[in-house]
Amino acid sequence: MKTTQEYLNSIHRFGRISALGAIMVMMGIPVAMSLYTGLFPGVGTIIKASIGLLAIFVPITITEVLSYTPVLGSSIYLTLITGNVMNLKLPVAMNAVKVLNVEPGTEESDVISAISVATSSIVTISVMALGAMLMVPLKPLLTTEAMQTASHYILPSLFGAFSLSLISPQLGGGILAKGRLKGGVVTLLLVIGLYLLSPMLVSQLQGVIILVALPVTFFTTKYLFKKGKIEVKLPEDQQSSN
Amino acid sequence: MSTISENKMLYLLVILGICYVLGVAIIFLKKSWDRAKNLGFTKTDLSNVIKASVSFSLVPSIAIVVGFFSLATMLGVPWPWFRLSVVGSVGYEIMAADMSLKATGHELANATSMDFILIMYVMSLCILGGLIAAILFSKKIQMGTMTMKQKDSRWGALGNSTFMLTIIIVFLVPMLMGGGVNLLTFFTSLGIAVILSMLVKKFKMLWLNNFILALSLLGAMISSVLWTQLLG
Repeated sequence: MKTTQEYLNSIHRFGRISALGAIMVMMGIPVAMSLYTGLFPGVGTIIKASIGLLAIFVPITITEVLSYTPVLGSSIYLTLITGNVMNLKLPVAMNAVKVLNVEPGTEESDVISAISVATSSIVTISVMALGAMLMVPLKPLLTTEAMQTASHYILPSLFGAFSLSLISPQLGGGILAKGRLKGGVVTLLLVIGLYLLSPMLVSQLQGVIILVALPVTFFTTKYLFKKGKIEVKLPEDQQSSN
Repeated sequence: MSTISENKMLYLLVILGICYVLGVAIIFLKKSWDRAKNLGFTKTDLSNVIKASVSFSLVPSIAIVVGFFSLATMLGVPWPWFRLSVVGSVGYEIMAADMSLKATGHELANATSMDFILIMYVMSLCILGGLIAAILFSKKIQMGTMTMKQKDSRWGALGNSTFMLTIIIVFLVPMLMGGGVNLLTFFTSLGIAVILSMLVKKFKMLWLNNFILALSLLGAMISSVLWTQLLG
C-alpha cells in the first residue's frame, strides 16, 4: 500500500495533468471552430474583449483556489474543472466528510471529498446531458416562474442546513472542540462591518474576503486555544475520562 | 449567429469535451475509491457517501439545467451545454457574453457568427485563472495544512476546522443580513434539518442521515416560492 505522501503525490500529479488537459479542451474548442469556419476575431480583439473580465475574474479565481484547497484537498482540480463550487461541490464535500464523521484536513477526508466531488460531477454532467436532449419537452416545465424563483434561492437553502453542523463542537473523527465558535467572533464582526459598509462587496467578492478573513479566524482560534479558552478533546482523552 | 451556434461540428467538439471531463471524474472516483478501501473504509461507508452525494447533487443540477435553458435561448444548445458542464456558471457566462460584445460595439440580439466565436474565446480564456492557480499552488497548500496536523494533533484538528468556519461565516452574513426571502429560506432549511436530525436520534433512523441535507435543500427551495409570494 502507498504511503500518504506517495498517494498525495500521485493524485496531485493526476489532478494537474487533468487540469492542464481541461485547459486545452476549453481553449481547443474555439480554436477548432475558428479553423473549421475560417472565422478568427484576431488576438487584439480577443484581448480587448477579455481585459475587463480578466481584471475581475483572475483575482477572484486565484483567491478561491487559495481559500477552498484546505477544505477540498486534491479534489480542488476536479471541482474547478466541473465548476459550480459554492452551490454544489464545496457543500457536497463538506456533507460527505460529516456523514462519515471524518476529521477535516486528513488523508481520509481528502479521499472522501474526492469521492463526493467525482460523484456530484457525474450526476451534474448526466443531468445536463438529459436536459440538452430533452430540452423541448422539459423547457416549459423548468422555465415556470416557480422553478426560476426556487433556483435563485439555492445558497440559503444549502447553508441553512449546514449551519447545524457549524454549531456542533464535533470536528469529526471523534474529536471535540469546546468553544471553537469563539474563534470566529472577530471574523464575524469584521464581515458584518464590511457588509454594513458595502453589501455588494461582501456578496460579490466572497473569495477575496475569505482569503482576508482566514488568517483572522486562524490566529484568533490559535490565541484562544493557547489561553485555554478553546478545549480540544481527542478520542483517547474521552475514553480515559469515562 | 444561429447557424454557427447550432453547427454540427460544434456539437461534436462539445460532446468530445464533455466526454473528457466525464472521464476525468470517473478516474478520480476510481482512484479515491481504491484508496479509501486501502484506508479501511467499508463498502457500506462508501456507498453512503455516494448515496448522499447523488441525492444532494440532483436538485442543484436541475437548477443548473434551468440556467442552461435561459442561456440556450441566447447562445444555442451546444456551447451553453459545454460551458455549464465545465467551469462555467450562468451568471459568469451571461456577463462574459455581454462584456465581449460591448468591446466590439455589438449586442447579443444581432450578434454575428464572428461575435459568437469571439464569445467562445472570451468565456474560455477569462475563467482559466483558477485552474492555473490550482496547478501551481494547491499541492503546497494541502501539504501545509497536513503538516500542521502532524506537529500537534489537537491544534492541527482545530486549526483545520477554521477554514470551513471562515467560509461559512462569509457566506452566512449576506444571507442573514439581507433579510426577506433569503432569511426565511435559510431558517426553513435549518428548521427542516433540525427536525430530521431529531427524527434520526429519536427513532434511530440512521439511513436518514445521508439525506438530511438533500431534503432540507429541497424543502427550503420549495418554501422560497411561498415566501416570495407572501413578501411580494
